[in-house]
Amino acid sequence: MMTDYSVLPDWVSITALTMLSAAMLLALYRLAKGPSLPDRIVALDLIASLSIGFTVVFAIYTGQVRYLDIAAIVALVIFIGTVAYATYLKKKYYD
Amino acid sequence: MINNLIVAIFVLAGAFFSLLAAVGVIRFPDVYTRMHAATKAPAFGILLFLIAAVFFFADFYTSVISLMIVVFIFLTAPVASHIISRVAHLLNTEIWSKTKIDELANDTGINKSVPSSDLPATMND
Amino acid sequence: MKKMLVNIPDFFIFLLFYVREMVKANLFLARDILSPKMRISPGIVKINIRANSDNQILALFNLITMTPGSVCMDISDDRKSIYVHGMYVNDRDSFESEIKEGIEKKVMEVFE
Repeated sequence: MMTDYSVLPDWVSITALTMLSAAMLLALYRLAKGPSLPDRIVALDLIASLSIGFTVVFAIYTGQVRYLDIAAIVALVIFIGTVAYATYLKKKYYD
Repeated sequence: MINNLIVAIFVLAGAFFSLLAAVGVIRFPDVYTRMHAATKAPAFGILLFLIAAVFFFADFYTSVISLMIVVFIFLTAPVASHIISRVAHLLNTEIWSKTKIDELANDTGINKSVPSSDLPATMND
Repeated sequence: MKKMLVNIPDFFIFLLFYVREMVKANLFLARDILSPKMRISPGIVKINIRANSDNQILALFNLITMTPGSVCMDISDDRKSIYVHGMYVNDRDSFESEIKEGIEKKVMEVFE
């Protein structure tokens, strides 16, 4: 029997979510190991970007448009976080 | 049906590029090269995911909010990478020993040395 | 009357250029990350820029960061030169002219 392709098959979203989770684990490894402090900031930035992608794929998986609002808010907030960390490090350097 | 095919292709491609960013952050030898992986690839991945979302939901609300997210991500990703790499250079974060030239160090006078001690540890990960 | 930031048709051409560069950048990045041995030769290069207004510098920073193998690191205090971290700096002068001829010319045409 043919698969019904008029709806998006579930395995597409599930595969994407699995790949994103693997990416987050790798980024967490870099966050834990990272030899220097800027390495950890890079890893944090990457995790935040991945979480935006995760939310968008989850919106597609569940079919709820409202999850995109969360993605927008995360996108607005993470930038401030990264800049705050970097500014803190710069201030520490000048003291 | 063709619509779902497009959605599937874009979602899987976006996931591939996001995973690529993480692998790059693990594999590359120093902060500055990791920055290349952590700036370009996730932004492109999010762009592909949002195109997929626009094709999947196909309404006005999704288009507007996707455009908003894309514009914001693409305006802020370069700023974040700029500020991180500048502070990394300020803090004397070690640079890969095979780096050809470092003219920023010549001008600011910091981070002059190019240490090579723990290069194999980061290369073989 | 207030002058517009850019004119619209030019901006769309610029947008197409941006998307093409971005796809190329990501394919290059994929090749670098997935190849078994490191084939990169990084370096930090100082480049003198002609762009001097705020819009031009913002667009130039954005475009350099998103193009294949280069990330903007810093701008000098007098805003005359920028420092770019490149992935394939085999020859300093060819890297510099690549950015000046390709990207900066494009930015200078579109933004003012």
